[in-house]
Amino acid sequence: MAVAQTAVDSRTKRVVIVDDDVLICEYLSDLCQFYGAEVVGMAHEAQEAEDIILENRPEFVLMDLRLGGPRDGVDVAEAVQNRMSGVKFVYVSGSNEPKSMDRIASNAPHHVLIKPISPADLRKALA
Amino acid sequence: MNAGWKVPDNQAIGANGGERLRMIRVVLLTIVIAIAASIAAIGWVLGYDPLVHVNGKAPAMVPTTAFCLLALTGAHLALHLRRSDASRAAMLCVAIGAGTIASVNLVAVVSGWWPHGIDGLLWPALFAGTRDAMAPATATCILLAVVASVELRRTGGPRKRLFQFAATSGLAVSAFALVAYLLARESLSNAMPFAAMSVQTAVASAMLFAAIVLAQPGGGWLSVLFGSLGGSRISRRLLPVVVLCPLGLAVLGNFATRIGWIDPGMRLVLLTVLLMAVGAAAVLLIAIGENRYEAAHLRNMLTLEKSSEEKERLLGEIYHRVRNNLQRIDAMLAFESAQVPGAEGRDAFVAMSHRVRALAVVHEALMRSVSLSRIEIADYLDRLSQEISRSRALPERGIHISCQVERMFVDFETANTMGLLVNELVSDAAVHAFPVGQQGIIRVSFGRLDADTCVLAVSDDGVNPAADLDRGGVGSRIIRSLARQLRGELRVEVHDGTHVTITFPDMTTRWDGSGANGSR
Repeated sequence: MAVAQTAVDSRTKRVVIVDDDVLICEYLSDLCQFYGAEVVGMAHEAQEAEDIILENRPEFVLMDLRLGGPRDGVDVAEAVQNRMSGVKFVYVSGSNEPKSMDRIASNAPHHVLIKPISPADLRKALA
Repeated sequence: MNAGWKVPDNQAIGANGGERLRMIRVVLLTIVIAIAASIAAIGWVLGYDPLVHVNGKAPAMVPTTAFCLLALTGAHLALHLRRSDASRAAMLCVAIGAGTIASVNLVAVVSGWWPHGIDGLLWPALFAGTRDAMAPATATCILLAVVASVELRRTGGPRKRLFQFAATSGLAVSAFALVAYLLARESLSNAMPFAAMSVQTAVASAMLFAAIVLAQPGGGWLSVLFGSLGGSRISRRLLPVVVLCPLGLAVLGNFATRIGWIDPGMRLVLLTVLLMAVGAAAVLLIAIGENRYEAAHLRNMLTLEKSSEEKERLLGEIYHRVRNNLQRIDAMLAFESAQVPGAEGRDAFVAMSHRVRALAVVHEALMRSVSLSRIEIADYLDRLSQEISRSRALPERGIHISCQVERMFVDFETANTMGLLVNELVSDAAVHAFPVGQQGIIRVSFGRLDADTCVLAVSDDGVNPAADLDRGGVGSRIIRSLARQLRGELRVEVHDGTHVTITFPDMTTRWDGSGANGSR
């Protein structure tokens, strides 16, 4: 994806990526950068994610639902939203079964993407 | 009342129990034959009175009664041992004969025209000065036996209600006489319909009806007793107690009165209290059994529910991992593609990425499907087309995909193969058929050609041939393999665009839907 940036906004979007799978984090990071966003942090577990988001105050968070611990992506989002507002949560979930979708919907997400995601969809979500 | 009676349900008796029942019937019928035959031959013909009048003055089993019982029982034994046209015909003859004798005796005795019935007419000397005759109760028993016997010989089996009514009523009348003999012999001689019924007749008749009832263990109240379920087990345990307890208590009460321990009034009180106790105990025991079965049922339901939830959770887990792995493959393809110089090399990675996502769409459709092994193909191909259209930015290029797919369910393997084929063919059309700036339509269609053939087609109205399947590239190799996987025939026509059709045998019958025999 080392192609010239095609979708550079006048104002660079700051993004934090949260996924317990490091490889997928890296991939999402490449995609974000390709679409002209700035990745200001990456986290692979709930507490780390909460800290990084609160510290960096990004415009977007790409949030995995399951984070391999007792707290999931929605828990982190709620914890963040209690402390600050204006962060847009884009959920990137590995499952679209009703239980997961209901859980995500309870947080009024900015956008929901189902893995494996289509780059075009990510671009739309960050628009 | 043990393992031998355990049968699959209320309607069927297992081979073991059935064999035992047949044995019991043979024994019962043989005893009845022995009683009737010995009374007729030794008692009446040879004149040995103790067999006829047990203690010299008790009522006798008259010759016509002995004859009717003998003939009916013999016909039952014959029918039981070998059901043939002959035994069925014999049963009919016997039934007509016995029915006639019993009817004539009944009318004669009740009306008082011939106080000794047919017997008095045939052997006036033997009956002069006696009270012997076929009792109305005996005649009724024989008529009921005749009805049950005629029903039993019917080719299609007896009419259940009529048979059950006749057999059970006969058993009840005989049992009434037996119990009366046991408890209140004197009172019986005052009850006109029973007055002339001998104890031998009561015993023989009760046994005959028991044998008749046992001929149909799968129908009526007997089926409840012989069933394998909990209620039947309780009834088998309780019925003997509930039937025999009152009898035993009454006999004991009689005895106690006779030797002067209690007077008749106190006997009534004691009997009533004890019967209330037996009844209450039976009700409570049934309640305990019922509660136990219901508790077991609830436990099983809970276990089932839990295991079903666990299964669902595991499926969700596997599904999640499949998607995560597909995402990882896609990510690694993206990393590799970033290192490849030149547009052509990167196109190959983009094509791979699309194939991975086509596989993901079929998993998504599977999870949405109700059956978890079959997929609604119209919905699936529609979603797949949208996914390809979106990820290849076709709307932005003015290229539209139209789906015309018959609504039907297809097994997972077939749907998966069809999805990969559609992905290849649509991608080929999107890449090759439309040069930059050229707009158009890609049509995806699928449906039945006839009862056993299906057609999948992808065509476009582009200006260039969508794909050269003879070129031998990766795409054409994949398309040919997938078509072969469907046992299909691949045809490409180029006129006003490219039209690819794959005709293949109906997959709704080719696979059993379990997906276990699908191969890659």
